[in-house]
Amino acid sequence: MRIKSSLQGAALVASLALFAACEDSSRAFQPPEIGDGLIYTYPLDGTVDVPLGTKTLFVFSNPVDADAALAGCSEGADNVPVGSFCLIGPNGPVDTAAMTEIVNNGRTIQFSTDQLAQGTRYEVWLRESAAPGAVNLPEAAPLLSFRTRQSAPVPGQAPSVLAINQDSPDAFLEGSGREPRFPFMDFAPIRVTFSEPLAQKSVRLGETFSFVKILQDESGGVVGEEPVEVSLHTERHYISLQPLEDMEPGARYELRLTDAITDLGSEPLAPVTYRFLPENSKENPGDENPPIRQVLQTFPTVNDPGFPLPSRLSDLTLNQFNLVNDVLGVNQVDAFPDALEAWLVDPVRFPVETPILARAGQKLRLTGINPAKLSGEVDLNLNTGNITGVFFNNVTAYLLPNPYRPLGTNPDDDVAPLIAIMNFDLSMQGEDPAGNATFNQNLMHVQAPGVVTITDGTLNIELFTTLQFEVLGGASTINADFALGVRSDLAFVVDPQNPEGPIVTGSFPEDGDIGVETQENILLTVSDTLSHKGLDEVVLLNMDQGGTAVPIKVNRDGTTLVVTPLGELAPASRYELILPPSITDADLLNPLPLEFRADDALGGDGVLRFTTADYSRDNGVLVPPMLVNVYPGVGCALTDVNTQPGKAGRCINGLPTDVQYENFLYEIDTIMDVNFSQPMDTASMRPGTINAAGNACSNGAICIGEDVDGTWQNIPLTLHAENMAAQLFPEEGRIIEGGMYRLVVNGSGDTFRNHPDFGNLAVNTDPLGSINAPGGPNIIADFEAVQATSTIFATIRTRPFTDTNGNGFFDAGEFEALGNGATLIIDDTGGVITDADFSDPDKDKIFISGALPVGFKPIEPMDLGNPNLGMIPDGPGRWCTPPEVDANGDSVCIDTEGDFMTPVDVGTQIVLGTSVSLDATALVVPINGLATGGVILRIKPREEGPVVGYVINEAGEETPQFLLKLDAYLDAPDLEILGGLAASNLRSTEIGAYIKGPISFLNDGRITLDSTNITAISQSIELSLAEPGTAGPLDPVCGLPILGPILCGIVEPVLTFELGNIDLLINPGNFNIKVVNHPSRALRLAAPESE
Amino acid sequence: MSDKTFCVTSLVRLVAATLMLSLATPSVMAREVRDYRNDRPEYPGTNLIRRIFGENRLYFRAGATYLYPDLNTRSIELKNLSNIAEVAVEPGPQNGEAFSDPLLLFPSAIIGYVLPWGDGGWSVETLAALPPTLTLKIKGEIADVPLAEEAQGIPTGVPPLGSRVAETKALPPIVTLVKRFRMHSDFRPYAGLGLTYLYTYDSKVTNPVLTEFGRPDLDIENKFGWVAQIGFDYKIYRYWWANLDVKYVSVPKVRATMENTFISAPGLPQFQFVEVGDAEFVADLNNLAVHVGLGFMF
Repeated sequence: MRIKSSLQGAALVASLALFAACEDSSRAFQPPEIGDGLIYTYPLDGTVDVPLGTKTLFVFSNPVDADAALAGCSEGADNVPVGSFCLIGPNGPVDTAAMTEIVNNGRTIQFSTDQLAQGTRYEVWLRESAAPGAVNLPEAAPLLSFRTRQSAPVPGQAPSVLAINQDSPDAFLEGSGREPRFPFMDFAPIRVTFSEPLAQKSVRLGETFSFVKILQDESGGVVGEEPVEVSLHTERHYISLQPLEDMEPGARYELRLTDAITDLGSEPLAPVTYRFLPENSKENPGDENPPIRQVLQTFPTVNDPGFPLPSRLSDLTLNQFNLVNDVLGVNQVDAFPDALEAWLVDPVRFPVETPILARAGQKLRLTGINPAKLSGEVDLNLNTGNITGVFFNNVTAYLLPNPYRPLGTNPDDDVAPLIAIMNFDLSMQGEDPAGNATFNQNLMHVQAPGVVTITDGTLNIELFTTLQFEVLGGASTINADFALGVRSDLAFVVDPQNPEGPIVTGSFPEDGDIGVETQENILLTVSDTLSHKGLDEVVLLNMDQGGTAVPIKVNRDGTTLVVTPLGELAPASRYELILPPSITDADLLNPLPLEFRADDALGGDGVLRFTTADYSRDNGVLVPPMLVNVYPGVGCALTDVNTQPGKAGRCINGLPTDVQYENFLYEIDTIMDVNFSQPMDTASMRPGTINAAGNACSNGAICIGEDVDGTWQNIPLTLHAENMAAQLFPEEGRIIEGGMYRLVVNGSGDTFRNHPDFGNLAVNTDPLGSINAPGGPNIIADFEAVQATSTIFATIRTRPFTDTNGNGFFDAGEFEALGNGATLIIDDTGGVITDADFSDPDKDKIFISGALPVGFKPIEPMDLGNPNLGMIPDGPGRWCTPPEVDANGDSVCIDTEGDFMTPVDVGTQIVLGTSVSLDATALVVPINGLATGGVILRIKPREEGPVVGYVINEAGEETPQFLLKLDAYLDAPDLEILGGLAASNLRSTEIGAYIKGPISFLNDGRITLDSTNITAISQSIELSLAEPGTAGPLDPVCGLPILGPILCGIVEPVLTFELGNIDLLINPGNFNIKVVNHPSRALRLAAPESE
Repeated sequence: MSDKTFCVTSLVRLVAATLMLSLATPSVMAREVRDYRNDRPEYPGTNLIRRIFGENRLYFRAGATYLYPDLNTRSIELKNLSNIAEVAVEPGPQNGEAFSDPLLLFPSAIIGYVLPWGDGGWSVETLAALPPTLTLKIKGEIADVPLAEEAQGIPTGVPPLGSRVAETKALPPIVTLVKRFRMHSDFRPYAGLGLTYLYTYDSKVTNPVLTEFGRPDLDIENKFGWVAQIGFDYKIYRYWWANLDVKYVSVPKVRATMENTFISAPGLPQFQFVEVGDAEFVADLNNLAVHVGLGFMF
């Protein structure tokens, strides 16, 4: 009985226990396993316009197998490469080993695109073996592809549209069957990216392209169209249109591009029309913005808790960036905690890619480069101040699930983070006026993808992008990797302050300038980014034609207002560019009008006055143009080629004793260019094709070729013609390191010709023969392509200069540009010359004009006693010029600061000088009007190596100083004495001096080297019956066999006996050379080409 | 065979065995010689009980109990929130309170044992009943306003939770020491004090918002409480008594934790589901149990 009762009890207890144990607790939700894998890439698939030097990132949730990822790649069957990480270009796998590293605690493959080719599409293959365990890498297909930026023109190829809003243009092509990757919203700007830079004069809204709204009736029938008012930015290979009012959802808009748009080689775009059907972003009709307000602030910044915060994607620190380049060394900049107001479109309506809007006119700030130092050592006395980036078009962003995971994968911060993609156009500017002028620019069509993580109850976005800055007025570029940390928190406050309105801080030309070129951009540097307002009221008036308005195009690049006259300006005319007070800055919340202040660059009246160059010639003689720079090469036909090892020859009609030019070198990726002494006929400035013999160009004035098995093969060129210069762009990939090439400039036939107003004369390739003779032998310059070693490479031009018509004379219509000239003193006379004076006491000067390619090299330890300078050390940091260099036997000493100096290679080019006229007395015979004619100053090559000057910091000088021992040959080829009865020694006559002066930065952004001689220069004009080294009129006889040498051996000493001399002296400070880089900032602001 | 099937099968077998044993007992007793020496109630098993516990020791009052749970909410707190949940809601205390509906008259029995000392006025009692199912509800802001109305300004689309949150079965054994008075009277008032141990099982979240992706884990803390008791017995006939018993059962600071909660946020369509984090309710579980019963002394 007890047993049974016990059994009953046990059974009950067991029932209860089991009942309890069988509670259904297994129904808790288990999120699906996502697995490790790729979580982020930069760039995104299909990105175009990736600047070279960009770091590409491939970020995983799991560790990368470094050995596998860095093992390289080989070609496989069926175009499927073999390897874990492969970059495939047009020629197959690219050797990535030296450019790839594993960062971010082993989770990121980072690859630098430095060595890739411009304008080229690359595929990235990334397989599971690179990151074992990654579940989302394709084995048999590329992961993504991207295209590198094409900054240089492409020869022989018409421009095309590469992308619209970073999407395939086909997505906006009616009937293509392709839809946009991301929704096109009513607030979006239209960003059109082209395959190469465009000729900006050809990009004119309402003329060469249009953006219209198609008007439809209720049934959808087209009843008309109307132009859409936009804020327009066009530059390089970009067009951005921001409609001033949000577009009408559902309406049809069309962007029509015509074939009047051309590239810099004048090749036309194929006409095309794109249609846009904007989607509604608002909740209710009439709403100003999408419904969900967000406030985004850079976070964490320096003073925020949690700073410094390492990036989740790379080895960078959020909001602290290193601007690294060879010129300026490493400059660390920090982001300020600035807030942006953004608006999110209802995610329910756009559940996959949710659009986000940040209205134009908002800003982010960085600390700047303060001060800029060459290689981080040589102080340039230049500060950017804080750097501000203004979003001048609406920022269009999207929030989307991780694209590397299957659709529907729930976001996970570690293995499948949300992705944010920001597309924006940014205007960068510096706070400091001079720094701003050298730095401000637009960064166009930037795409910055980022990961969104959720911490501290907020959305935190880490955006990565590489921005390419142009610094020092475009003389150098910096690729800066930005890991921008942004936090979204409604508690942040958007600062509505806008402290002051914009002012004009600089202009090119300067207010009141004379001698301004007739085909040139007009630039106004402003202290803040400008809105579109008032720009259509900017007028350029020809005051000598009763204030006639000149057609212009107005564009904005950073804070630079670029005014491009659509036609050539009239010479010798007064112009006024008038800025209306309706111009405002681009501030979103509190835009302020342009302020006119007495201390601004326009004197407070908002009018830029200038006078164009007067090209009239006093003597009426037509003079051909000279090539004052040929890079690579020199602007004269050469002789004695291949007679000395390592030498390229010498100019014909110099002396056989001339030091020959060093073999010409071309630094890869620098701009080849030629500069002229006169305005040119741009129609004649066409690239040609080298002939098989390699000694002439057909169908064009200039050509480049390479010797292939004894036959010269042409390398196609694009030529961008300017008023007095042309830039050459060889076909991509044809100039390779170590290769030997040839540049030919025709001296006759198809060759460069000067402006029709100047006689349309052929370029003078033999200036030492005569400045007045057009044409000449072809210039043939063989050059070797070498890896770029210059940190800055630019062709700098003498500006301002006097001889604007380039005839070798200081004409009445020209002005004294003392910055580029020498004031002469007649120091003595001798022999039969008993007296001498300047024919016109006011014309005791030689004015020079030229252009020099210069390359700034990496810094070296301070040593002014090196062979390039030859100065004498005189105690610590003190160096003196050797007395023998100075005509007066003086020595000048310099106290240097710092331990380093920056070498600057100076091209050995030809400089044109104006004639001086003397009245002399030979015994009792007056010789009046003894004019030298135009003189040629050739920078003398060194016996070995390039001509090198140095940038130094000098005690007591705020600005860095450029120091050069300048040796030159002086020639006066057209000096005629007594109707040819007498001759002079002014042929390859050597002069030399130390020149020194500050490097400074103009308020229009140009770098200036303003040097003067610190040692005295003397030159004696020696008169004889025949030129030294010749037998004068008997020269032909000297060539006769046997008799010739005997006869000439007798008569030459007689004929060349010095009859008399006039000694000229240039005292220290009286020879000035002021050179500046062109404000084109490479091709960013390409000077207009005449039509 | 699945675990669940196995459990059900085992339960069926055990219950069947128990019933068979129970049914078998009267037939066994029927064969025994009946003891008529007194008039105590004779039912199957009563003598067995008397043999085990002795005469006049064990008593019962079978009847019904009315249970009025009074939850005194001390705190409702969200903690260990997931990152995404933190965007939408602040962790920490929430406004609102929990409650449970009263349970009307469920069968129950008081079983007591008369202690051998004193004059028989001391006894130990317990209340036996099938475990009641408590429906846990909430009211106030936490019920009426979406917990996460917006995430970073983005409407989440998460609806208010509403009232119904969870249910649980409670097995609160109660043991009280009872002192009866007027032991020679037919009307015997009594009072008692004792302990209870709140044991819950089969706790589950029933809120439709919280269960869209599966049931979150709900853990209700098992803990001791105290019991105060008054009542009276009234003799109806010989050994038969009726009684009215009122107990105040208090289990203070009962902690209930909900974990592994995933909800849908239609306003955040990029999230297929949103992990929430933990919710912790702390409440004093105060119950008023009124029992009316009829029984006899073995």
